[in-house]
Amino acid sequence: MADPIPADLRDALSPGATRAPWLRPCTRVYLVLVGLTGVTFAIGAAGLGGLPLALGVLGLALVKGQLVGDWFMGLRGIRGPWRWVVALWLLVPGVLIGVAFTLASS
Amino acid sequence: MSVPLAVQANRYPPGDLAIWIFILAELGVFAVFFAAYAFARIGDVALFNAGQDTLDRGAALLNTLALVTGSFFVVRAVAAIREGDDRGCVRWLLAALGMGLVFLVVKGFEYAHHFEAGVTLSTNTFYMFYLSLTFFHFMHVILGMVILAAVALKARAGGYSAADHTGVETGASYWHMVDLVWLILFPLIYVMR
Repeated sequence: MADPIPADLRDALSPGATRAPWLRPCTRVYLVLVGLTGVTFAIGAAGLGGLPLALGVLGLALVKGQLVGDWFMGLRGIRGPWRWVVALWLLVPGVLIGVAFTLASS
Repeated sequence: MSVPLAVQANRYPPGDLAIWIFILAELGVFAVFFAAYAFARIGDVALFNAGQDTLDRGAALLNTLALVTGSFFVVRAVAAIREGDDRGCVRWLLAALGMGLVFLVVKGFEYAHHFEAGVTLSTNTFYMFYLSLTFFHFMHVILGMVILAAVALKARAGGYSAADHTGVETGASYWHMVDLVWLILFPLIYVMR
């Protein structure tokens, strides 16, 4: 018996329809990364400096790194120590850079 | 009692575990480089700020967008092969390679500008770090492109499927590492002051 629902309508109503390219989570993450990159660039282009701003820019970079680790590298769904490998890597140089910039400003 | 295969698979990141050991080693080296730059800066903040002013932030922005976009394309390549779409996988990988090429060209122009101005590794501490850090990363972009090209060739020959695509995930993981490193390098060298 022929399916009474047209194939294109069935596709549109299926849960898979939410996986259209422009709605994929990775697309949203990509747009966030582009937005945060724009903010970082704007701070640099404006010639803004000082410890709070430097640490803020560093914080943005760490957030971007974590997004790449979680959503692009696929660590979000991993259980166990490998889940935190990128977070740990971001934390170590992040803290060291933060300490160095704090010392440089004092 | 044996652990179900699905649970075992979930305990490890995508791709060959060996590439992740390699990625960890690479990330460790870059972490030392970043910390060395930041602590060396304490000795002469004015020199580092003056050196930073000679850099082309617009080029760095373009390169950041190229790498982030390339990473996004690689994510789409992995998604395509997971859905059994090997032709789509190849197209996304070629697009990512295009972004890698954009990065190399832009960075090449940046280097040419600095070399024409007489900048070398021994000009001062800032340029020593700038040139060595960015060139070390530049070489990683080239290696990442070679890996992606090899994966694309195999995918084009039908070497991967929805059930067997570890090679695509392995190449993707390396490429994301190259992107990840630049996401710290860009603000550290070009913006933070």
